Amino acid sequence: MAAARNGQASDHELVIHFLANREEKAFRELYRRHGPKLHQLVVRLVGSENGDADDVIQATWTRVVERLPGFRWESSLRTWLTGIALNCTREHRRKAGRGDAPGFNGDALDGIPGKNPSRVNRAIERIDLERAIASLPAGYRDVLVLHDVEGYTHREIGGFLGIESGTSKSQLARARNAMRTRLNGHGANGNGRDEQGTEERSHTI
Amino acid sequence: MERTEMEEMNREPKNDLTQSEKQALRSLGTVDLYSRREEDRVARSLREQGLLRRTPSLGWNRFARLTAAAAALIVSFYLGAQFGGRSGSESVPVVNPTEDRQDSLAPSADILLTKSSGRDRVLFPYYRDEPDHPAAESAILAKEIDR
Repeated sequence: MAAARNGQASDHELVIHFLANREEKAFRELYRRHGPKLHQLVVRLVGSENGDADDVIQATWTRVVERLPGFRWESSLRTWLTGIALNCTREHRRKAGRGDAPGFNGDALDGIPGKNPSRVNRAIERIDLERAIASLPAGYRDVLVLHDVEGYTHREIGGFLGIESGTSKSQLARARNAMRTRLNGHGANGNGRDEQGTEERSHTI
Repeated sequence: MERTEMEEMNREPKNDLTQSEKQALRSLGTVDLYSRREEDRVARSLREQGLLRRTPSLGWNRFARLTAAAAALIVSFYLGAQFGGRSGSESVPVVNPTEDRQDSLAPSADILLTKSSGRDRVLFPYYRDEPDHPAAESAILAKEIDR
């Protein structure tokens, strides 16, 4: 449970306050605390084109508000929200009939800032990284984003995705390999296949 | 199968990130994506689904408070006119009280208690000299209960 920070209400207090009368003001406070992180995660996993991310975000918060009364605080609120966002992402992919390479829109990232060469380089590096992540098959992308970008453990990732920790580890190793290949200019074909032509093996390896 | 072969087969693929790769990827995770437009969209949708109650804006709050105050004022004036210039909570049907009576028959503490607890009002002192008045009986009863 997140403790109160800087005089702010803790997540638990905020949720209790929201559930007391479901006022929009309390919801918006909750959204501002966790929404940006979820938004970024969903954009990274499903892409920012065609409003896909917007739809997933919408579905995520609807489910969050519906299920919040049953949340038992056995994990942090952030972890719980991430789990719901991941479920909504996977459902969205299934409905859309695709699990591969999300559309990548560099505009969704911060613009390349100013004239400072190091900042420009960093921004370019970020765009390259985002593009490479976006071109990964969904299974690779999920594990790599959750582990290397978001910092979740293999155990947590296993819980989110319904796979063994070992599967998460091996998936991550392959994802990193695929990333390196793409960043070196090979294999970033954007069709969701890695260098061996392996497609979307995320939850079966 | 030899032990080393087994270990080789069971070993997880080793593919650690370099420090700079690790930093680059983690730096992506430090960027959040906040959009007021998205926040409004989500809130509106939840409201439409009946999952959220709109919180009145400050302006509406103030308007509601002013309206309530004005309504209370109007009601107060109306009641005042109805009950001879006293507000509803203080209206006491007084039967021709005189200065002498009020002095000599000032409500005792227990009668005041009766008044504040919302039971029979301070009728007793004014009816003491008029025991046949229809209101006197209940007033006396209230007095007895208090004692």
